[in-house]
Amino acid sequence: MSAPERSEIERLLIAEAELLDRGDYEAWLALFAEDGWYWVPASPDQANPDDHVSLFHENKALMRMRIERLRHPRAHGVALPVRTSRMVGNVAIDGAGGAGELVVRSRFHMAEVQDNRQRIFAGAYTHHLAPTEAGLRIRLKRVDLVNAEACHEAMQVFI
Amino acid sequence: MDAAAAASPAALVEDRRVHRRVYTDPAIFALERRRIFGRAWLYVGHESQVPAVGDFFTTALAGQPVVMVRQADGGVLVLFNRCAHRAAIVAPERCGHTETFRCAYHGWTYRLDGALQSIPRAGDYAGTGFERGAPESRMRKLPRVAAYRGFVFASLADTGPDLAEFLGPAAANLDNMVERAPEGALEIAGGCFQTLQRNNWKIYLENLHDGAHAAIVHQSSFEAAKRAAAAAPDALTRFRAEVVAANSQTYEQMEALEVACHGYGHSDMKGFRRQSSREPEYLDYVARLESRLGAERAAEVLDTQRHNAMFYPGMSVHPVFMQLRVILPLAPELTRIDIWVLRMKGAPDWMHRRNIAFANTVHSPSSIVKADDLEAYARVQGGAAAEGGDWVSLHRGAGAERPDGAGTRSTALSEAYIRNQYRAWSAYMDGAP
Repeated sequence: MSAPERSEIERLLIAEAELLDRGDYEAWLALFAEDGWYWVPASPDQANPDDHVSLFHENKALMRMRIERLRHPRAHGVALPVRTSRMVGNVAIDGAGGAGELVVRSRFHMAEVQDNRQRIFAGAYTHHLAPTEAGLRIRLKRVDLVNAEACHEAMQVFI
Repeated sequence: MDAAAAASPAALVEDRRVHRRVYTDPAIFALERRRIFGRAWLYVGHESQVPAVGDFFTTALAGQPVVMVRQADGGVLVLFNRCAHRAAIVAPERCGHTETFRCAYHGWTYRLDGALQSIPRAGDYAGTGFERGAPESRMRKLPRVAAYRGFVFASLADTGPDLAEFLGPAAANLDNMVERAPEGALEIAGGCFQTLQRNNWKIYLENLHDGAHAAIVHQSSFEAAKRAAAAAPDALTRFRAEVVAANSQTYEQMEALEVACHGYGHSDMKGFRRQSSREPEYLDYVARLESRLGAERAAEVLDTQRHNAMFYPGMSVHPVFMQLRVILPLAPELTRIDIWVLRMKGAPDWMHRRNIAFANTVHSPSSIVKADDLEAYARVQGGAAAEGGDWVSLHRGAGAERPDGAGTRSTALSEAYIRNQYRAWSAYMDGAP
């Protein structure tokens, strides 16, 4: 398999962001490899998710659990819908990671609105992408918030 | 609001109902800070956070900045985090290590015990009436500081019950946490969640043993979690899904859970889940525990299953999964909760990883369990603004409490523990607890 073009990688990041902002979480989840993880550390430069708390640390089964809760008619916390809009940029292809993965770093800004309250999340995305028969799949999406250690209200949707 | 209620907090609390103003009134909130948080023993931090001389940790008690610091003699002091000169915060960091505390504004420098060490151009104070040796010329110590098995508490009041009397039978929850560690000691490890809730601090405490809300509030998450548990690819994922699914217990199961109410507003609840396993990694832990305690005592410690224990007004713990939450009221409708995980010294590494996973699942800002709790709390706060009904009902299970020593026992379907909290609330607010 030949190395993916930069344009293919950027298309994936943009499509991923768009699926999240449209709330199409099922299609978003399909972008992950079967052994994929979504990780939002609770500290800057957090070395691992095992012996330190994380804002999110979910494999596909746990992401699916979150999505099914969001879809539930009695998910009271989203009785008023949560909407997001984000920009992804500063894309840098860092080269190969382990197991044939491609490591891609980017920056993002995201506004999240619920009721009449808006908050801003910003930080760095690190995607570990695995080439598969079906195209690139996400093996790890790491989200390093600039305010990872801050005092946070509930985070119900993926960043 | 009638004039009598405005004048006296006592008029806001009856045996089985409370006035909505206890959640909304800024004057009541200010009074709570002085009379409840200003009198009770409040958890400051854990000794393990300041292992070496000069290690410090900062937090707030009743909205006041304090710093916990390890002394040269090995003791732990808690000082007001305030310069004696112009009141600047001296240590702005969450934690750190220092030889002395040096104020960043004019350079006044203090020893680790708060004593004033030096002032730049100290001679300028000659003849000004400034007294260098006076108590107000140092970083002042909290009136009372005491530790219980590594948990450091402080009181802003000069007088009152000592820490042992204050903790009373609730101390058994802290004992159980410590005794679960094969080396008989705990340490804070793995970071902290700082979380913000748009509700009065009491609304959070009033949910801690509420067995009647889970089937309603958490339906969305436990139904998703049951499917996730059935399809979990590995044991830790299954554990995390089962923790969420545990909220699907029936009313009958909740009614079988016992809640004990103690003095000073404290309470605890027997656990949902009995942890026993024949897995080699669990047996490894039990063997380590038995080597210190013996088989009989180890079994007693492990059979003591408590889901949540509450130390009114400022701390709650979940002993089995080593979770510790600190309640920091910011405003009538705004509460910060800090969540810590304790590591059992001498326990196999997987147990801390499991307890971290528990924190991520239940206590993270992203928790799918907590999201619906927070929504319920915010709705109580919102509805409490309505004059359409001034009273909040706490009748559930009233009159069915069973006396037990100085406290009572009831079930997880009873609001007895909330009524117990308001007995303490009234005692603090009206006079001596």
